[in-house]
Amino acid sequence: MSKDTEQAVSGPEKASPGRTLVEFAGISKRFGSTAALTEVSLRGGHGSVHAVTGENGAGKSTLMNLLAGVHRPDGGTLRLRGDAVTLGSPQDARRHGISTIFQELTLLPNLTVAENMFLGREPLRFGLIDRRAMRRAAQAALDRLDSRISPDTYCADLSVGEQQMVEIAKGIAAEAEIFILDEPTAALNAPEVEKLARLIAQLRAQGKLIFYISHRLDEIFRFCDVVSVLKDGKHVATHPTQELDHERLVALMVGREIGTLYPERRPQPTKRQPRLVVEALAPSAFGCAVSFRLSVGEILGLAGLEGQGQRAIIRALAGIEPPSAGTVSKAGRKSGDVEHLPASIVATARAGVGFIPEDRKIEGLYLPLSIRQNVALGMLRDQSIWQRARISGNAIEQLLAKMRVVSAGSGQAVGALSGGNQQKVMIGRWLASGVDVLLIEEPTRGVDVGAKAEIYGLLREFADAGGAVLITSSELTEVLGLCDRILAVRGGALVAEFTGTEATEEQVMHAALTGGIEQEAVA
Amino acid sequence: MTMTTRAFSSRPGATDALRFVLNLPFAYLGTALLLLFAYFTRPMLLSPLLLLLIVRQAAPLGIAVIGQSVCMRVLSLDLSIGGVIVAVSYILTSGALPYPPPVLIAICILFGLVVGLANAFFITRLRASSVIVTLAMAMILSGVVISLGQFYAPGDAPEVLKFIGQKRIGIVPIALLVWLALLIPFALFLRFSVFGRYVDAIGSNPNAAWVSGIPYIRVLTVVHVMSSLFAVASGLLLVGFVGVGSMDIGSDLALNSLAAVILGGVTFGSGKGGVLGPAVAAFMLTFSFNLLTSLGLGEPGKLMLQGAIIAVAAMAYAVRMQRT
Repeated sequence: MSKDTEQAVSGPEKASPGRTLVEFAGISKRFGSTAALTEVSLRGGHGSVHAVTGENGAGKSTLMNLLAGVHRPDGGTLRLRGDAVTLGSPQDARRHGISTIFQELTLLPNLTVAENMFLGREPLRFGLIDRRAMRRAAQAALDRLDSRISPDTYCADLSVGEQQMVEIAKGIAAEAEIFILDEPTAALNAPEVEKLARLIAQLRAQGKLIFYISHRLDEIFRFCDVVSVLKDGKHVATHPTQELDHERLVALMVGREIGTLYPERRPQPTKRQPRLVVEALAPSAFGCAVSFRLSVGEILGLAGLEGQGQRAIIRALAGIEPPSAGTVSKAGRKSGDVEHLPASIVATARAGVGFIPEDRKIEGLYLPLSIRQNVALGMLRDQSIWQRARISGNAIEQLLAKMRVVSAGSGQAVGALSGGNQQKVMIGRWLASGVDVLLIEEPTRGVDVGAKAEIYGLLREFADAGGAVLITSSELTEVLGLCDRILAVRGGALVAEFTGTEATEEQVMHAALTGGIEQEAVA
Repeated sequence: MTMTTRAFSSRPGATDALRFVLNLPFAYLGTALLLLFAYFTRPMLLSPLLLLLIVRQAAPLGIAVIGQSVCMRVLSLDLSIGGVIVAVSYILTSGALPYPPPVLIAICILFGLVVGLANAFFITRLRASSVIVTLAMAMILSGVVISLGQFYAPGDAPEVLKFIGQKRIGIVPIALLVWLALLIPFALFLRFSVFGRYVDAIGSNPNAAWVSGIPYIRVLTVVHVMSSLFAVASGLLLVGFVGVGSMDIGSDLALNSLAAVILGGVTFGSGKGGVLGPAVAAFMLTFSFNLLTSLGLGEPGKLMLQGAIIAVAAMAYAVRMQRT
């Protein structure tokens, strides 16, 4: 597995490339009733860049969190340099030479680079922090990365790319041998990605092992020597990247049948009544204007890689981030009854369009309030603020029973519920509100499999009863299993349309990656 | 499967204990302790007649507190109360506007409406901090009144207000009846109306309230208008109680109302809190000022107490922020 590198080996390590450094042997991990990982076995050796990929929820982050000491495996053995180890905490992992660079960077903005790098393990002299030694060591680590960042800079003044550099330098200073990079390019611009590429090459040349978590195919092929694919918590395959191409990798990532998780679709009538007609809607974050229809009885999905504009489109539609141009008209239950939706969230809600955000804790729920209060707020949607609140306690209890919300009673605070039950309460609020359109971001994020199936059932029932649903989802299997129609989004534009029953993951993934169906994937 | 680990976590023990104490509506316990203390040191303060006098004295604060408590429940603040009261006193007592008292009172109400709308406009539309906006409003209003004072000095209060502020029916002060007449219907309104539900929602998660299409701006506007109108009512009562207008009448009402709301168990951002707690706290504060005076610690003691309460309020705020 030895590879030529552009950079000179500058580290003191004399590790022979390829020798096994980390071994996951039959690792399993459960969260509640969900199996996040099932008997995953894979190895990583010195001097290699090992991609770990798979769809969202495939278990790649969980696997890496086990190595980072965040979680502990329920079964199987983790071996470092041939010895079985138990990593009890992130600190423990760090002591074993494992350095993790998380998606959300964890540097403290009000401390300097050097202070951040030695946080919690400051060099001491006479019981006081030896600032000079700390500065010197920080400088040395940064020098090994050919970085020009000064150890005295405050982290608040660094760009995201520079912060990532400091995180890596932190690992170097701690003599780490294993680096975990979790979606490192998510927040980087093109020159910063170049810099990261050089950094990774340097680390490899120094004999480090880099686990590179990503679902961006071109980066995997560009940066990595080996790729391991996870799916539904299971290890599918590990191959050298040279032996694969985009298509084979995509096939490995998506290859499975969709079971009975999803409710049955009604046969498609040839002509459906439109409920929402979206014309030349231009979300302010993206330049492109999109036009589409959402029909009565339909579940429509916006699919694509994360950050391609699905969120901007659905939020513009809901009136949360008012669009720069375009019109949305909504047909009422009676024919001929058409209403133009103004670009304001209050007005869309009044017009019978509910929006369910992805982040239920920050934007979705009133965590300190009870389940009953949360659902009741939906019932107030078309009431004036001056009138007496008309709330049907019975209807709430029936809804909660129907949705099978598991709780200690409807007076319990929503913050105390599990993710799946919180999601049900959030959806329940809109079901109680009498809207006929639901716009849903990531309908089942962080929800266990059982609750997923129930939520899908509820949405299908809502659509069958004359509602219309638009979802965005980064889980392709979900889009394919649930939706009647799928629109692929790339760079803020709608690039392809598929029928739910006919689309394959390969097709949608291709459209999402390359912008077309016919086109071959470009390496 | 997101990361929740942080390099630092705050020490739980100390803040937990503090949190527990702060989550109790302190006014009930505090009032009980104060009465007990008075029983041993200054028992004459506990005579029914004197207690009712103190209640009458507490009424203006109690009325201002109603508005302040709703402001704080939607995570806003109203520091313009003092400015509104000075302006109200000036309109009523200076004779600058040569109208009969009922018209002057109507002008005061209109004035409160305008101030509330202006506060709400800057806070909701321009996203300015409520502290800054309402503090600036208070300063501007006081400044205007002082400069106008050169032409028409504040003078005697209208007889009708003196009557309401000073007289009683039997032994019950009219001021107390006015206080209750505002407090009780408002408490019922908050409890049963859609508006009250929205106040809870916005207080417990303003982001979610916004995203779920609750008329956030409207509710906040109404809250600030209400707060200014309660301030006007408080000013009317206060001017009547004192009998003459002045340039610094009601100047410490804004901070006292803040303290009363916090003592009354309304914490920032919990979306919780009743109307009764702050009302009891208004009495408690007024009683404690009287107690301090009778102990010979009048003005300095009052300042120290106000300072201590506001420091505790700031800590309560900080603890809440850590939690979220």
